[in-house]
Amino acid sequence: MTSARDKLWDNLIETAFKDGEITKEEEILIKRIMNSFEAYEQALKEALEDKKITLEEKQKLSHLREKIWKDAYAYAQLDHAITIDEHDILIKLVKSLRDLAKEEG
Amino acid sequence: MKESIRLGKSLEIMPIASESFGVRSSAFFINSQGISILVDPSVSLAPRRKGCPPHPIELLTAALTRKVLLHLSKKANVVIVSHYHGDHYTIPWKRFYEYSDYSIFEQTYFEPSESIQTISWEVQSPGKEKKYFHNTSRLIIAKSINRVSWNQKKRAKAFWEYSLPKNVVRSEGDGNTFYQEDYGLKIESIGGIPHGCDSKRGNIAMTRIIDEKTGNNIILSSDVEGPCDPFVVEKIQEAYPEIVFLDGPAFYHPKFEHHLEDQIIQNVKAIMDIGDQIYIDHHFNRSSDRDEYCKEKYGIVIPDFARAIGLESINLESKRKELWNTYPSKEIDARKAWGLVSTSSPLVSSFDLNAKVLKYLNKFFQY
Repeated sequence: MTSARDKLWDNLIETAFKDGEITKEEEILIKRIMNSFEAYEQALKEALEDKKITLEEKQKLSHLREKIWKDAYAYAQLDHAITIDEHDILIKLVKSLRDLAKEEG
Repeated sequence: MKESIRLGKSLEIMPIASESFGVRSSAFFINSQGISILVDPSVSLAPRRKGCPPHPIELLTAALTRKVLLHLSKKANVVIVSHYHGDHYTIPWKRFYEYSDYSIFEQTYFEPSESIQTISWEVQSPGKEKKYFHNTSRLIIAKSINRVSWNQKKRAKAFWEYSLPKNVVRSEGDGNTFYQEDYGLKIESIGGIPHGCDSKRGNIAMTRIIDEKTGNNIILSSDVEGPCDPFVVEKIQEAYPEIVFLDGPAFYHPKFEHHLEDQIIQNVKAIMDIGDQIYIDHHFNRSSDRDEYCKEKYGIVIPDFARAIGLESINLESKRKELWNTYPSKEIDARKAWGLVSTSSPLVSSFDLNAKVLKYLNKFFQY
């Protein structure tokens, strides 16, 4: 079964590669996202240990998803302009985060 | 008709009034696991539009809306004031076409029903470590008196000087976050938002409501008029809401600056990218060709607040001249319309046009 990390990575790489190349800018943004994803992945793993996600764990996961988004968005905004490439990755990220939330149930 | 929009398991959003419901307003009633939030409880009608005063059908709709808002204000744990224009804020003096006076102002904000449960809120200001707490049956989150126009300041004064009853707490919005731990409910008042396209009008506070347990969240934009300003887009994107209730551009207004149009289109498209559901209403629905405009510029008709719950939008103000031509009767004036609305028996419209809206509104008296 594909892990959440692999799924996100595949989604982001596929989006970045749509125009036939992955630019340095895209690569850095994806790496940053994957770095901040680590904390979420760890929390998800811990939450699933007893095969049941409690309300407290859900809340923690929701915070971590928001953090992933806010970090990525703030990074893309650093130069005060979100490029089309960055924009596409961010949109894919939002959709992936929403899918993750739905999967948590 | 859906009657409400549900997001996740706990957020239930009910648009109460807006131009698509036949009045000037942007009022919402939101319920999250028993906590209820009333946003911008007020209603207004343009004193003159297309050379005509409000038509009786508008007066009836506005009178019923005001009484529904009064009823809901008794039940609300939280009341939000985004700014101090009469279509968002119940002005504390007699306004004919807003059905407001001092008593209605008091009832709207400061007289919650005694049966409302007491709720504790944790309040955090941006950039400050220290949190403070309110334990109250009525929390009012209101735009501060800073950075509002002179007229708004005058209107807001009565609000901020009102001697509060014991069970009511008043707190400035403008960037503060209000968190209810047991329910995992968070209300963010996003400050620094320009009031439409004219910088002289100062700021408004945008509202974000979040179910912390699932991350589900919505934005209620209030008067962003477009939005014209890319800063608003930035704030909405940062929040990454599933649902956005947006105030659209005031194309109907003779002073609308058409050179802003391209920027607005770009801004709306950027918001559409982020949100799963976008609804545009308020200033936008004062133009009779808002649907054609949407189709042309965005390729789809972006629904308004009435259509969000499956109602047909009636946009009475945009049809005012036709209404007077079709139904020239002056039998019902503002006072008579008010008298016709009773909280115990439903107001039935003698006009087809607003019949469904009235039916929808009447149901709130059972709430």
